[in-house]
Amino acid sequence: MRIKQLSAYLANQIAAGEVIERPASVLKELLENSLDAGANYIELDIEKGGLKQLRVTDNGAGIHKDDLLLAVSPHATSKLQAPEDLFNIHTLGFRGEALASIGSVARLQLFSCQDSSVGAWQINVAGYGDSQVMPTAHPVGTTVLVQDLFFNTPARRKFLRSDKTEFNQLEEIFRRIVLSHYEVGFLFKHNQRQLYQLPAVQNTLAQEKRIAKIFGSNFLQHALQIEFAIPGIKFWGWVGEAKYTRSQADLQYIYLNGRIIRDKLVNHALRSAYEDKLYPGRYPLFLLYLEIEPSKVDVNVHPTKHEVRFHDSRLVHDFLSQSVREALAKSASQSSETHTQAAGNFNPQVSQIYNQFYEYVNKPSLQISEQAKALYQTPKQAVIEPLGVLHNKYWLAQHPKGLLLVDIRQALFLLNQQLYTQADAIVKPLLIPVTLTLTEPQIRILEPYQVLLQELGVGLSLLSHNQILLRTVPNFFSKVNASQFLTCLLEELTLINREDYQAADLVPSITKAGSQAAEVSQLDAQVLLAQLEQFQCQNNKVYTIIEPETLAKMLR
Amino acid sequence: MNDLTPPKSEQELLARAHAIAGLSLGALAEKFLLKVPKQQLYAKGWIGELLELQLVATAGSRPEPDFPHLGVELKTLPINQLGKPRESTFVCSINLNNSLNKTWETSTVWRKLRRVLWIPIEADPAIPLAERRVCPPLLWSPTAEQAMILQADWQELTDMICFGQLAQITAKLGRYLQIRPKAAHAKSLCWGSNEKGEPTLTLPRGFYLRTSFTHQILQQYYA
Repeated sequence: MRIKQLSAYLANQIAAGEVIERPASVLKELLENSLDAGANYIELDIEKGGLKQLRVTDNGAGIHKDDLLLAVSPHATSKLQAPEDLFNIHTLGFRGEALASIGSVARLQLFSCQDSSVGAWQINVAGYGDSQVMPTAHPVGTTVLVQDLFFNTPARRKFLRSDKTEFNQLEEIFRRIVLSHYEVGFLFKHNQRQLYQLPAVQNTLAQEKRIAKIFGSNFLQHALQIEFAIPGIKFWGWVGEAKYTRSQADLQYIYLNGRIIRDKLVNHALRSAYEDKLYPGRYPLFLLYLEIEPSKVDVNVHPTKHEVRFHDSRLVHDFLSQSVREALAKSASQSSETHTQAAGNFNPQVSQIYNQFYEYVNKPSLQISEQAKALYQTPKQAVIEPLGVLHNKYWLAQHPKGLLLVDIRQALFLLNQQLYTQADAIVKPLLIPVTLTLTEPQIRILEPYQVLLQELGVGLSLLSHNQILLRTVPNFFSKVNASQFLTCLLEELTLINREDYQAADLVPSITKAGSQAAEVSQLDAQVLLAQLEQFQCQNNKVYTIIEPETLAKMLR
Repeated sequence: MNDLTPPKSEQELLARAHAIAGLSLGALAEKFLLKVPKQQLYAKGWIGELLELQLVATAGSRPEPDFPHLGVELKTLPINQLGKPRESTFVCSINLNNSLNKTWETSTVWRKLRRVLWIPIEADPAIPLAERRVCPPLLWSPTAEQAMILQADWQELTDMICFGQLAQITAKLGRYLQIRPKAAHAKSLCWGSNEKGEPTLTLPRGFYLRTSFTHQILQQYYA
């Protein structure tokens, strides 16, 4: 089977599967288009639950004659002009998919007029096929007529429910939209019957009237008003009292920048604000509006845009939850039915989160702290991989330049001696102190040096006549085998002139013992080499790198 | 004999801890006339309590550092004969009901971890409890990088608690910090909130430090 590019028709039908599920999804897309076009009056005329016909007429900006065909082709839109716009979306739509998708699964007619002096134009699209732009009669604005939804996709048609169910869905979309744009007047007709007539809202009274139409006349009496505004954020609306609940979660409207959202995170924040004040199976009512700088949210998550992503979801969650919690708590303590909160009189805990929120909203987005950047940048270092130890004396490693060969005992000896002169011997404790059994003569050798050894970082305690405890070693020592260290130290100490000695005379003994007893297999190659490089200037050559060419010659 | 007043400075605390390094738990218990439990299974936290007694820690099980006036938390760390921690380290329990507004700087985890007196304890199963020795102490603060990773872990896990995603939290999340149920048995439940924000019964949880992290700390400091 070979790979083929899908035809535009098929691609549209696939896209339609995501965006256009039922008449209600068509209505949502069309209403959003009208609102984005800046209409202040929208008329809906629906027949048979939108299955037969769905007509949306607006008095918005209209579509240019030459753009009409482009409007129904996929990925064509006037809402995004530049790539950056995607991260700063001010319109409800932006994907350029809606009309193309609708046109691929229904008979679509588009009537539009941008300027009455130029005239109105119309196109007809039915499934697949080119359409002609024809002159027509239409006032300034656009009418979209959608008929026979899914006429060419029988499988989809089977998923549609009765007229009544589909109508309920349509009505729900309408109810949600009308509460998002109070400045727009709406007329809703179903089967020639006028169901809603909502004039554009001019004052608070009219606004309350519109809310009462959708949420019921009792809602505002049992709701607490929330109002919060600082530069960059606005959060306002009404939440129902904990006593005033419903058995369905149907009256829970929340808008983000004028867009209906059904977001898990937001729902969680609001539900948890009610804590245990609700009976199981009862749902609170709320009508809330959150307005945030569009660059702080990502609405490009799902084609239907019900889900959103906040750049700092936790802060948004806590902010919403805390605001509602606060309102509910105040209502419990006050008897007044509604009240307004000013930004100033929150309790300290709440104002703390508002401050955080304020910072979040007003700081430039998507900045990664320098510290975090540093953490994710891998250090550019030559990688040295230890290979093994030869004769317990030569340490082999793979170096970018070739084979690294170190006389490890000698190297550690020099290194430790150098480190002794640089740092005061700072003590490193053994995690588990080691008890060693020695002979009595050995103890007698060790005993006089005990104090000086302690000063040099080697902490020893005599436990009994033949037992000694090794507690500490100098802190720059690599991991040592304790018993080997002590045995070697004893040997070295016997060589010291017992008449006249100072702390400095013990340093070679300790470093010798330390280098002999070091567990070299556990050395950190990078650290060791960096330290050894400081020694190259001295004449003691303790390591070499055999380049591959040299190796090749040696083995020829 | 033992000083019965809380230590007045970090130095004093560290000196006291150094003074008991190498002592066996049996010897320490004898000082306080305590009986060494036969099986530690039935005496969870016994070692910790013993050392709290010895060092006169005052916070008990409150969500603040064991030495509140010094801001130092005491943590015993059972280690095996290779010097590896035997179990993850409990930091604090989590309030599942109120995780709102918590920031890293004000979190209990940070308040407990920003300064810790680690006291490793020999805990090889072959050694009887009374004969296990107290190892030399380490007074420790996380490095900037460690603190950053701890904070990232804490943020991720606290967000999940906050969003009610209790069911998705497993001990596999987090690089240094993890969340695990902290309960005597599966039937001891507490109230939390589920994904919808509704109150629900769930196991109490706690923050733990992974052994890989505590091992890293030990390796940095001890020989």
